[in-house]
Amino acid sequence: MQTPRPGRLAARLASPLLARLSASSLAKAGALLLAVIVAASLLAPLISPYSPVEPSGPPLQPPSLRHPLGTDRLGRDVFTRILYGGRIVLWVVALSVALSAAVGVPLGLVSGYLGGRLDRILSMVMDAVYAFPSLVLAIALAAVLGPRPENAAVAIAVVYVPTYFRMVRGQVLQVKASPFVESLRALGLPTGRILRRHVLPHIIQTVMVVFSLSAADAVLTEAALSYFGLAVTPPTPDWGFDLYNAKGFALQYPWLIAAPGAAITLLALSLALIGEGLGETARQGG
Amino acid sequence: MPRRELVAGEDLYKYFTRGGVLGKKLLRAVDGVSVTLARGESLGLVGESGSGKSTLGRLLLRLLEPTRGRVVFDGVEITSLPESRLRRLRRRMQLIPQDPYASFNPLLPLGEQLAEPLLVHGLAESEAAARRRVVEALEEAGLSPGDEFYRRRPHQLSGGQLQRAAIIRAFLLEPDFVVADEPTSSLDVSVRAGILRMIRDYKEKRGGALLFITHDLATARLVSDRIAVMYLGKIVEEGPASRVLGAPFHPYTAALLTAIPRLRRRRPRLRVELRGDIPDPSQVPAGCRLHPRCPYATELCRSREPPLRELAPGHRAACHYPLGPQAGGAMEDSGAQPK
Amino acid sequence: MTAVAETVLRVEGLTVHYYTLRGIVRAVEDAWLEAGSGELVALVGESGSGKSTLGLALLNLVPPPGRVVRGSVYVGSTDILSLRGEKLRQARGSLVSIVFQDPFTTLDPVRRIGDQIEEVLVEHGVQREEARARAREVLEEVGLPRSVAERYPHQLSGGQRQRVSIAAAIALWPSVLVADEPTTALDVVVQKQIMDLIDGLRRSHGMAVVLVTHDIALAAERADRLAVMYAGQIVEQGPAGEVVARPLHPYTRMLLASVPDIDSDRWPEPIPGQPPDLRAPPPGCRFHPRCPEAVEKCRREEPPLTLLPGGRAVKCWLHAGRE
Repeated sequence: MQTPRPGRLAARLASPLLARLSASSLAKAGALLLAVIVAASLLAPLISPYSPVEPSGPPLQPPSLRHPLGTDRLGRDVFTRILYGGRIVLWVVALSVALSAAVGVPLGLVSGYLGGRLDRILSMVMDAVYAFPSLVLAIALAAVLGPRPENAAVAIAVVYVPTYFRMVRGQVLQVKASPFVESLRALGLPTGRILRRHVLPHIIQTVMVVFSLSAADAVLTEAALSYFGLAVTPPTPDWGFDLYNAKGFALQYPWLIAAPGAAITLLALSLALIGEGLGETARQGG
Repeated sequence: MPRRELVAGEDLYKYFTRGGVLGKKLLRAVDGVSVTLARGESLGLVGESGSGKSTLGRLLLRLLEPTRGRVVFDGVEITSLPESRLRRLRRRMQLIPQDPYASFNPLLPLGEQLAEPLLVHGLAESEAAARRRVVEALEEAGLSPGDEFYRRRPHQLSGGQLQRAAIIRAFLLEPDFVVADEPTSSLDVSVRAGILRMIRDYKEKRGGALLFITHDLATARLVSDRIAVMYLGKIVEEGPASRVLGAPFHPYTAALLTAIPRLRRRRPRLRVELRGDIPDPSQVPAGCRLHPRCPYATELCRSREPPLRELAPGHRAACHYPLGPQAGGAMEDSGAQPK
Repeated sequence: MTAVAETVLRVEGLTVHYYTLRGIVRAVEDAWLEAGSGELVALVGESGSGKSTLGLALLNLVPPPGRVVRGSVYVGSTDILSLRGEKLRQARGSLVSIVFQDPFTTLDPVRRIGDQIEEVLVEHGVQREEARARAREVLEEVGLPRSVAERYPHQLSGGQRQRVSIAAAIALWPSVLVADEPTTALDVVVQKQIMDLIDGLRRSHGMAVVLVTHDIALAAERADRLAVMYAGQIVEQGPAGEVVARPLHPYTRMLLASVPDIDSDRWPEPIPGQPPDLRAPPPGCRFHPRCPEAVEKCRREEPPLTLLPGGRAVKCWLHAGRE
């Protein structure tokens, strides 16, 4: 039994996505912004001569030519900390979203298509997790697991699995009832093939939208976790943690919260723009 | 020796429950139907909305499981066969659906969707061979150049063209039994004729059995050897096409014949007019289902459901007071007239 | 009907275009039509022929981006297309009315039937008391019990809802009723009931009916006059029986041959090709690419409307110059 080789299938899926992306100016703007943030974080050593953990100037200096975003309480260059902090945030967000999708999507597919007792049980479990206030759940999990970026990623992932599950399951239920799946069954195509080759590509667009939007949300959740010191241990740079540290000084030294705040906002915004842009073209039947 | 009877539905029931805020409703889509098709036979299943004709078609293809009753295909009981065993049999029983745009995957090229079943069922040695077969079939059906149509997406074809592709897809597997579910109702009037011809030609060539589901008696007349008329989940009349249309026994059939608009303004001799609308299928009347609307209804009709009985060779009807031969056409009647 | 019916509807040179982002769609081009009191004129065509647009234009109801470019629609002595604002509103319902395929378009699901019909009457200046009585009266005229006035649309069957739409449309006894595919969504037995009702109403009240439909058999059976539309133009017109028995235009002939006839064993013939894109219709006769009898002239010049004896008209080079 022949199936299109994985490479071809991936290419086949990717090209309409890229087409969608380029069709929306929102998505393009978001993608550009995201690219800039990612590039800046990865190229941090090339951009800044300073170290993010060692002091490089007098403490609590306002923005100047030498320190474009000033220095923090310990004399570390804020701009450098933002750049390096981005790596942590991006890593945690990417990992958590990948984990959520890897668990939520296949479960949603199978549960939706097969139905029955399996579906009922899974749906109940997912609904229970979903009902929990996401922040509380993430904080609780991260606290139990300990302050490491990987653990934070797992905590966030757990919170978002039901989102993927429900979205995919909902779409699968819709597609399952459609005459076109009935035709596929009538033709005698096996279930696995129907799911993989026909149902999945149909819902992949929705998955991508959810992907981006939940990633945006994950950024904010990560910031919250690191605010409470549950994502990293000092002196590792992390935007949320830096926000926390700047708490008492905010009024006199506003750059200490403006910088990480802006960084969090921009990253979340870029992901949200991509998600909205993809969703927009999907709605227009692109 | 191959069985004469290819497909049989024995005492089939299919009930759906529609959950509502105020309590569940029971929808008796198919309510005790037995039907058989012989090899090479063409049966026209006629009915209006709520008659259960589409549901019956799907039961015979085992796309739905009956609530009660048996489905037998070429001697094999497929009523509760697990999907995995059923899959291989499916090659021999195919569906031509109503709306071609809804029955194809809009994302994949048309040709691939026609080739896929060939590969899955091992009817082609390689992808290239399958592709060649498909292109050939497209050309034969007038979708030329075949290469180009192979590459196109479904939405790039017109309704008529896409329905042709759907027919090709069904017949490529060389089935013994094809169910066509209102294959022309979503198409433009001038295109329907082409689709009907194509189904007729392919069926003749293949020699298989055809179940043609439609609400239009005129179309049924063209394509069917036998006609079965359904009302609210039951077959009310069944027999050779010429007899059912020419001299129906059941008032419902006669009412349909009276009501269809005719080009030449001719009307059947006996005109039967029904009152009111078809009732909601979840509220089937007691006794004979037609009684609230039937001009001949008596107390017997209101209380007792008439059985489907053979009233002439090969011609059955379910009515306490079947009509005489004057109902459809030519001859005068000497039979008793009720009420 | 032996007496000469008084003409209540006169459509002259009606042209409607849709100004879309992708070009100007010439939906109706130079339509001429007449209907006498109590007459049923059927406008027959496939999808995209412009028949629905023409129907809407008779009430000046063409939705944007559509616009009536030219022409007049005389109901009695009033040109509907020249009316605006309040006068137009008054004319709709009292001079000319419309019934649609889907009765839910006309009926408000959260209001009682009786109230809705009353509303129509009150809007046209009828006193509340009289309107209430009239609403119940008109329900009876369409074959429904008066008690239906207290019900809501979802409590009625499809056929009953369509009767209500008709009741609302005729409450003020307009001279012209436009019925746009009124029975397409209904079962065939109910179709007959509704058509019988329309026939009864038009005969008893001298109301002209313009029936817009794709079902040529329905048109052949019910219409006094038949007008065949193709690609926005009326290509043939005449007494229904005549047009069906002796069709002049090749499209009419092919259309008649493409429908199954329950009274015969004849297999229907498909019409090859596709209707044209109305943003760029072919030069000359719009049907020429699909016409088996097309000649050079058909490809170059648009045929004129030729009037023939017996109240027939045809737009075809094969019959031009015979008048």
